[in-house]
Amino acid sequence: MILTNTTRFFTDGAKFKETKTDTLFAFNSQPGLKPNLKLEKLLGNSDYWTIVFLIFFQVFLVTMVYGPIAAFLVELFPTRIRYTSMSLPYHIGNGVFGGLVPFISTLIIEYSKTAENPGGSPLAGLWYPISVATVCLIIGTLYLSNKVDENVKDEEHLHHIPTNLS
Amino acid sequence: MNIIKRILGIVWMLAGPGILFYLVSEAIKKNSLPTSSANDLLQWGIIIGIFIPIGVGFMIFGFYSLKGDYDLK
Repeated sequence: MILTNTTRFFTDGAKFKETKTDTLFAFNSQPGLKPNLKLEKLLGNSDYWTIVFLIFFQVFLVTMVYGPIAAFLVELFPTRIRYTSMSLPYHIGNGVFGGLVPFISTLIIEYSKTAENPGGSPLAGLWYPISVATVCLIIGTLYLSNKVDENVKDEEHLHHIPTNLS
Repeated sequence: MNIIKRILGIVWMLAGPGILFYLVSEAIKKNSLPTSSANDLLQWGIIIGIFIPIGVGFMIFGFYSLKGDYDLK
């Protein structure tokens, strides 16, 4: 059994360790086993904290959206149609537009491949979420009003229910 | 503001079928290439299948927007 350890240190503090275990047999007639490779990659201290900060910032943005979204969606529609009207756009927004991001982003990266740049632009896929967000911004700014529905009890609707049941 | 909403209604009404036309034409183009596989057909099928109701919804939204249902009184 041959065990090889290779450790590489990079100037930015990153560390790369490769452990290779190769098994060979004393008899030439018996073929050796496939070598077993184990890779360890460690980021440098500053890069590690930069990535922790960037992920925290994204989580922070998500909480900024999720906090007011429930209250906003509830107030967006008249009371009696609230649930269906909330549920449908919410799940289209999350499931369809969010769920298609990997599909369409990969597709856009394929489109960005040219003769000069055969690898494509790795960030080209971001055009899909950016364009969906832009359309939402335009529609939201123009068409949604921030007026509170004064008739929360839908009294106009309730008038049709007979009140003299006794 | 109401005029902008109504004019943009036409844009939304055209955008819905426009997106669908673009997606279908690209799907036909990509799937007729000799290098295309069943995987390409599946992916384009999913994308178009999901975007059909979105495109139709966009058209309906544009129609009501043009009609003035979103006008502020």
